[in-house]
Amino acid sequence: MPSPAPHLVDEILEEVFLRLTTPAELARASTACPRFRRIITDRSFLRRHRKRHPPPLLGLVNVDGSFQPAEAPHPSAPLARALADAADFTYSFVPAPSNGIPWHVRDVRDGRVLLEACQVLETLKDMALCDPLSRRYVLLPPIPTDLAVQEEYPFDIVPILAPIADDEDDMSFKVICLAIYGSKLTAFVFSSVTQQWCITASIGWSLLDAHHPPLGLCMFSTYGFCGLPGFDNEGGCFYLASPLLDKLFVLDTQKMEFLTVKYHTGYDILVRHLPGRIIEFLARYGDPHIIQPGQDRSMRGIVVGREGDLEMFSLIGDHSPNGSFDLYHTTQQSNGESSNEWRMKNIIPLPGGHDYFTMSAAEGLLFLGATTEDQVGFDRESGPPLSRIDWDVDYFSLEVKTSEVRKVCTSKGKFFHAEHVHWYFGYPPSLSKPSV
Amino acid sequence: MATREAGKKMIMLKSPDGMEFEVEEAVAMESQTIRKMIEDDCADTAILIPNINSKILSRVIEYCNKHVPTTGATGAAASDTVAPAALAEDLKIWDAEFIKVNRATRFNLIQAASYLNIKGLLDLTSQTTIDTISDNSLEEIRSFLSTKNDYLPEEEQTIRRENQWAFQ
Repeated sequence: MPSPAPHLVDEILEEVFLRLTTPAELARASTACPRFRRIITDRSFLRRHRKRHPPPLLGLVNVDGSFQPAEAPHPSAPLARALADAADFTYSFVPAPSNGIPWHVRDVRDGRVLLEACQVLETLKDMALCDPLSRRYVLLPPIPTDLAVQEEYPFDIVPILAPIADDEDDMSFKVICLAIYGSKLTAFVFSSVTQQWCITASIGWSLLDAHHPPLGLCMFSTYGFCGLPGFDNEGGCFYLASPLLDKLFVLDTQKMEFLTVKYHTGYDILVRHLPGRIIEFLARYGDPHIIQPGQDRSMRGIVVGREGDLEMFSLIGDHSPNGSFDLYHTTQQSNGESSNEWRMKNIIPLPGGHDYFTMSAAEGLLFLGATTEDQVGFDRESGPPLSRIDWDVDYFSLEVKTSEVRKVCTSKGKFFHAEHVHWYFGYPPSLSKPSV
Repeated sequence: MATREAGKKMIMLKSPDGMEFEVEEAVAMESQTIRKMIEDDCADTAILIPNINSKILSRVIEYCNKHVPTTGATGAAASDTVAPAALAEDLKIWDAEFIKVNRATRFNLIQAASYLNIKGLLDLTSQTTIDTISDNSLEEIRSFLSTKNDYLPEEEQTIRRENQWAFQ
């Protein structure tokens, strides 16, 4: 029978600690006594907590692998520094690739980094999955040639990390390779459970109303995808868009099937005709001679809200000195057919003094890059200053649910045509378990 | 104790100290644990609720009675006159009063809510506990959750260093 001063069993403390919302509260409670620490740092407890309170954004990982922590006043700044101090983002613990090419970061998710070493247009790739915090890694076998080369050679193969499904062990992983062929797009999947590559889904370009791979897709790995790839945080769907296509395509990574979603409907048609849209810009590509760095990088972002609706953000702005920028937030119910239309949700003004471009979306956040106005436009005829490697890029996140815009950090941009960074969400060392 | 109404199925709940509580099936089914027993046809007669004494069990039933969704003739009439937002606000005030109990009772309620799988009650009791400790010092957390600091001094130093970021 319960006594007047009850001894709290572990399960009750777990229930209480589950309701601590921030990693800092959790970490502080774990320093109270060894028992609390044992409960809080238990893998299954951390998994339950993560489901309830998704891990915070800690910073970005550049293509060369370096980590840029979130900076104050961003609330994650102390956690991000703790991660930067403890983790090895030089990947010195991963054996060098057999082909002598350095590792490049291709994707980051759930505390894991997907590394790749390959020459341009090489079909067989060296890939490794690693955890910079626990310094553990797995080398992936290449996709077997008889799988990858069917009637034709793929133009390109783009690797992505699938999010961990709810019912999956958090040490298991799946790597998806999107192979772009002349007539179709095929998804290969490597599973840590089967230790094998297999073909899981394929979609013909004809279903996307295109008869050949759209331009943006071909440039996918080299220049960054012309559109915004983004994962939603609940359904495990991966979204790809190209401004040259009328449909979005969606890869459901749990069912492993491709779907298409009609793109230019309802309010979107109106948004497309506002001045400052990228489509307008592409149509007049030959005209402007002076452009701002952001101008030919902006694409729309797409993320999925908690209720499963598709949420789209279109950056509308005036790429001229003192120009102002807004994000037009439109939404589409995703549970129906193609008759669904985009409806206007709200217009979010962005902080002034910056020239913005949209980047990608993950975990309910949309990411924006921006250059300050003192880094002026350049003369297109004399060519973009590709040699320039010191663009200061400010990175912002927009929380889809609340429309809150927050600065994450400032980083040096290397090639402003391809700000290809990956976002790191996770926990600082004391609350992390090896993920590989 | 619940009164019997025509057409409403009643369930008998028994506490280990021998008390019996007759409640409407809908009220008892606020507990996912009991719901499962009823759905699996394991609840023909009285259901014995282990580890939860009559004092706590009666509070739990009181909570479920208040939180059971109102249905049927009287329920429909009530929701016609009161807006859902007002109902929710009313429930919130009721919850705040309900949880004004001493620490021992609250911990017993968490335990009961956890065993009986009553999400709302578990949220309410755990959240109230968290609200009491989350901003407090480590000393208060320890005393509140009735534990003591049995770290070795050097061990504590290491743990503190590891978690330095959380104290900034």
